[in-house]
Amino acid sequence: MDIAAKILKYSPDMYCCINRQGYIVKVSDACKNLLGYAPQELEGKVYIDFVAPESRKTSRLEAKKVLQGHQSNGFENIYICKNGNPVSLRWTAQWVEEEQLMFCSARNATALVKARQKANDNYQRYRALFDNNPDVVFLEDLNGKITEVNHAFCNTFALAKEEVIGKVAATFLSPEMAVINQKSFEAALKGNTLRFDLCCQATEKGLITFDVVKFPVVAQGQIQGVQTIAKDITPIVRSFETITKQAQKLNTIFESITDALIMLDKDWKIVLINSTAESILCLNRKANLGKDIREVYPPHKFEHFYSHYTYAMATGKTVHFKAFFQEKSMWMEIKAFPSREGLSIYFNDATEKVKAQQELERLSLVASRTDNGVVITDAAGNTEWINEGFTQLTGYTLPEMQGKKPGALLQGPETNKQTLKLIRKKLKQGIYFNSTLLNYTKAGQKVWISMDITPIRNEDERIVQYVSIQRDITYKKEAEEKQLQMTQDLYRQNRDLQQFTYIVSHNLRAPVANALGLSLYLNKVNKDSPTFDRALTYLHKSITQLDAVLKDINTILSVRESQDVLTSEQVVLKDTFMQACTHLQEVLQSCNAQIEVDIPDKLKFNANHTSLFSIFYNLLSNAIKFRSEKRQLQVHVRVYKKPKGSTVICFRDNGIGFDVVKAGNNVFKLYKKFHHEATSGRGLGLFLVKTHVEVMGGSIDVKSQINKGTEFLIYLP
Amino acid sequence: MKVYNIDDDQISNFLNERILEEAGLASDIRSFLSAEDVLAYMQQDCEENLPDIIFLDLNMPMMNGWEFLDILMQHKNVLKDKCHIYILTSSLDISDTARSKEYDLVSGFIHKPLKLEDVQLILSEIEDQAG
Repeated sequence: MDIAAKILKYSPDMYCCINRQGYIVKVSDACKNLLGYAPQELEGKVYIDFVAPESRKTSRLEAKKVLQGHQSNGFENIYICKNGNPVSLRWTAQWVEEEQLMFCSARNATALVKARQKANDNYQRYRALFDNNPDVVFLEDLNGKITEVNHAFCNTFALAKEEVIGKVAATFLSPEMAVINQKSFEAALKGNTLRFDLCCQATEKGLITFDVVKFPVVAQGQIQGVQTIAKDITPIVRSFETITKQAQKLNTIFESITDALIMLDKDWKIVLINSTAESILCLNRKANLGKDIREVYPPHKFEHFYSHYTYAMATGKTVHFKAFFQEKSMWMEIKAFPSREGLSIYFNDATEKVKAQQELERLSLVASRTDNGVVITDAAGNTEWINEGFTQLTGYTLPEMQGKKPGALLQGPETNKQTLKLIRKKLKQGIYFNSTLLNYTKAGQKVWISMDITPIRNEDERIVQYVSIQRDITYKKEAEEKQLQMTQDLYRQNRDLQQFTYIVSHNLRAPVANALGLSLYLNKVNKDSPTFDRALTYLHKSITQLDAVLKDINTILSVRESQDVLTSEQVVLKDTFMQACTHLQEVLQSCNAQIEVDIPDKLKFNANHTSLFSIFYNLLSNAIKFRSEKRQLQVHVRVYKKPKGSTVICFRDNGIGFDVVKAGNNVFKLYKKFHHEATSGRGLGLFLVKTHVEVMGGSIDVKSQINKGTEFLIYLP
Repeated sequence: MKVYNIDDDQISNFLNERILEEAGLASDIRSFLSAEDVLAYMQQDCEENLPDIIFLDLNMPMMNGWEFLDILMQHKNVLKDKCHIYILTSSLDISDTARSKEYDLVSGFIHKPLKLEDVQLILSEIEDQAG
């Protein structure tokens, strides 16, 4: 075997000759390795039958070209091996005219195809990564011209790819940013990777902050260009800014809290001290932050504090307590709020509050011991506290009063509205005042109360409470009423006395003066003269008048005196009136009087019989005295009971009447006369009637019209 | 000289008339039982019926002495110096005496009974004034 034959035999490449019709004429032994067929199995067969169906078309085209004289180099197709597996083959082929054969060589291209496919896949993957990267990515060539940009770039700057390719980055950056970009670009060209922040004015989103990485792209040890990846970190920047702001704000809040505030973490370490805490609690931020609080305030000295803190930490419940802070000798009001992070403790200087509380307690102690009622209300007037004395005074207990306005429970129908108005006005003015008011106890009893109301103000001069001290002055009021009654009685007595003085000065004195004058005259005049007899008659008359007045006085006095000794009895009114008529029967008959009686037969009245008789007698005799000469005397008497139980006597005549306006107050006065007829009356009758009525506790009214008649209305209780 | 007695008390008028007679003034003495009567009479003829002296009782039914004086006060200028009014009353009340001082027309206040000396004093007063 010559060398050439050996090369053919041992070459891993397959050599074969194919004729114009496509029959395989000769094939080297390598076919065994490549396709699994022995040369005898292939020789004399048509090559296309061994080509995979998807490669047949390209293979025929390529064969046609070779037959036309083209040399084929690197054509690839797929054959089906004897075991049915496909195999990629890479061919060189040439037509040799003198042999009328196609000389071909094939080598296994599977590895090559795979490598190529992989390279292609990598490229695609890179492309996808590049294009779809959410970060802005662009490539610059060595001259700084942009060669590639991704979708994010286009979207962010609202530029189309074509608008930027081939331009420098400065076209879409602000001048100062362009400078930065340029510097970093130059650094990247020197092989450095750079990272910096870049602010850009993007069209829609406003100012955008990018975290930019710029690095050189190296291929075959040579810098080919510069790639830039810019990550939009605006939200991060914003949130960082927000966090910073919030932290500042929180700090401001902590500082502005008027309470002292310290915060502890779970391990009792102090993590925050505000400035109030520095001053009140004698802490120093620099020295004490981060320290265990137990080092600063030893637990054995602050046992009370720690017991609460420990409880709060252990249970997660807020604690609120008061404690005395020895170091500064002040009372603290402490609130501790546990949280996941630890414990926030607020300290408030409660010295004033505690002192006020103690003062109030002391006052309450004093107030609770006093007999006077004490009410403390809030600024709105709602009861906060009452003492025992108040309960004794009104019957209301603290639970019944608490939160309510005292007036709502205590005032009643007879409480003076005017006084209430005044009280409200004074309360508004916020000054101390005293007032007297009729209140009602829980049992509904009336109590006169004298109140001293004092507003309590806080340090801002704002009214926070009212303290009302209440005294029961009912006895005083009763005494006042009694005194008033007594004054009225005295006034009446005095009035009566004045009338008596009047009687003495005039009605008694008048006949006396006459008698005196007459007796002097009788001395001088001749006993035989006619005037002597006349004077004597007058003297007798005067003395008779004197006697009559004395009798009147006696009558009046006996009525007055009788006030307390008169016995009351059940008087049948009609009978009493008829008795009066009987006494005056003669006169009544002589003037032919007509008397109409409208008194129920059985109507009884609890009174003194003599008094009632006197009333009827005097009214009747007045009617006779002042009857009209022009007509027959008519008297109408009606007695009836009112629903309320009082009795009304209505006595009407058709006499001459009198001028009510002119008579005025004098109608019922002693010895007041309203008619000229000297003989007809002395002015005693009505005075007596009135006196009787008043002694019985009643009242009398009169209506009269001249020449029509007179009507008396007597109301008896 | 004209003298009027005004009193609802007949006896008092009777006594006054006798005393005035005794004092020599019998010429023209008139007694009225009410003030209304006097006013009516004087109004009949203001010149002729105007008296030189009036003795006036205070306590009378209907119009009393004070009311009568109130009416006369309206004609104060005519009456002044011409008509001398003396209150003649049985009242011993001091307030009445005091009240009479308020009336310029009232020349004097006399307690009943009227006596001869009272009249003589009045006459001398009037003469003094005239003289």
